[in-house]
Amino acid sequence: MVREAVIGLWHILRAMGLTLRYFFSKPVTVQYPEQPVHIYPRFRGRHELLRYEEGPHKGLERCIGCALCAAYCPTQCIYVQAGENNAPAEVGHPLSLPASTYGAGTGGTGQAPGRPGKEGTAGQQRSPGERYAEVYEINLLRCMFCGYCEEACPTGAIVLRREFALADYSRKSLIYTQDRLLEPAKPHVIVRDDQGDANGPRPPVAYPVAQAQAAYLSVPDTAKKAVLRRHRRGKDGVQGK
Amino acid sequence: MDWVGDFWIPVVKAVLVVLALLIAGAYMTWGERKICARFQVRIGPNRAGPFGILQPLADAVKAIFKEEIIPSHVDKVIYVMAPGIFFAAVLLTFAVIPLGPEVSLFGRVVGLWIGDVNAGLLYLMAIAGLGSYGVVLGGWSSNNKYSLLGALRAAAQMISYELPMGIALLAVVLIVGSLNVRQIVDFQAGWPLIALQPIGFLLFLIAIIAENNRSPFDLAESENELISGFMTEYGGIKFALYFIAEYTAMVVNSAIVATVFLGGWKWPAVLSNLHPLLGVVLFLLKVLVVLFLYVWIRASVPRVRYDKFMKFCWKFMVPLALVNLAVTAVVVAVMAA
Repeated sequence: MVREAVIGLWHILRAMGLTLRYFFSKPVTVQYPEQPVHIYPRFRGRHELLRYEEGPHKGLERCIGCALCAAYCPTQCIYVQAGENNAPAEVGHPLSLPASTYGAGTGGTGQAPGRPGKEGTAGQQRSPGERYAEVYEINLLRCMFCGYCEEACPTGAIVLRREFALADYSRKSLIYTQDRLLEPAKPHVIVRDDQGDANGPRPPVAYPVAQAQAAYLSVPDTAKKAVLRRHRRGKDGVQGK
Repeated sequence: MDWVGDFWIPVVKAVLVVLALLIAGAYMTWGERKICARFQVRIGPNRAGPFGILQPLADAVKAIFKEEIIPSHVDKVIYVMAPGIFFAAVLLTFAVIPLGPEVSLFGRVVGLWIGDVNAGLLYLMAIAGLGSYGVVLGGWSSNNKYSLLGALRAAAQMISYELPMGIALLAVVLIVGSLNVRQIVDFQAGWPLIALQPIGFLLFLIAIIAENNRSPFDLAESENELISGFMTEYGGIKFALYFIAEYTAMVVNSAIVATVFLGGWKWPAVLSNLHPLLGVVLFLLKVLVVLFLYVWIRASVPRVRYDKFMKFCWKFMVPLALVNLAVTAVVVAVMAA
């Protein structure tokens, strides 16, 4: 009994010494809203619809309304309704109604595209192709952020950014409409071993999705390619801190 | 009858002490959360005011405005009374603790204590024992199996720790030759009793942690298996009363340890003789050290299993306390001869 007590006391003192060491160490807490959180490069957050930032199509939306993302989506949380670029209103094509018609909220989704009529009037070019996304909605309540939409997209229009603080007060406001998806994401994060750009490219997934990788490579971004090459050489595993 | 000296001064002192204890208990919750957080490499509360110092106020406001729920199956009178009994016992305990020497205030000589009781140590033990009634009655009146188990544990725990606690104090009484707390403090002008009674100090510390239902002896309210034990059915301000009483009890028990074993306000006499206020500061510092020890132990040691605790109390602490008492008695007798 005495031996037990001495050993027990010794262990308790050792435990207390250990905790005391931690007492004097720096807290690891991240004061989140004030300080950015550290995330891994492959983190997938909120979607963003991109525009062309340079070249002949500068300023146009990348999305051509093909709805491949909606077709590929496992949870079917994407809704795309295509509109026709440059469709002359007088031809009487079913999709050539002035966009202001949709803008007034008469669309079948119950959710107005939220785009004022003047921007989307017939005859104006919104995307480089024949068609553009008249309505583009993602139900973030159903979305599981798998990133398949990104893989499916032939023009690299939709990407998953690293913005993750998506809490809101109503279900309806979590159905993201086109205008909100076009807004650049502002992730409040620090990406581990990245180029310092929180919106920078994600390294590709480990499993071979040839199409997705081809699409990935087709994007003229040398940084992306470098990441991919490094990954192929097997030097770019995700590292823990 | 001297109304000022015999009535008003004690009343004012009592009110001041109660207020100070309430604030100390409230801030002990903050202190524990802060210190515990640092032990776990966290920051702890820091949103309400600088360093979160308004956190106890925010918690109090929240608890007060919570809906007052009395479950239909409880024994209402005792259910409502139990937190009060607990809290009252905790507050009463402090009455005989001297904070400092006699000082002259406004032309009167005022002692920095509420009651100068001859059998002060006995009073401490008696009132500290009453605190368990709050726990036991609360658990029993809740009419809930978890609460009842918590109360049963508290009762069994009480009879286990009170014995070594009393015997450890008896050794102190033998050395000092008095039950008066002030005389115990005065005795420690040269050396604190922890130097003469290291084993007694350890036993008393363990017992007092058990009395406080503190980790590693928080068997009565173990969150994991008894979902807070005797407090399961309590909510709102009644829960807050239990909670704050527990933390006030920590402060009071630390004060007892500081007084009986760490020399109270007296030791080291070189410092406390300079100015009476310095003695008070010394006392408060010692209380803070013991309080830190409380949190430190909580952050380091997991909860003891129930039967192991009983075994530890009865088969180790009680015999050790008895041996300690016997050795002390022999030494005191030899020294006196």
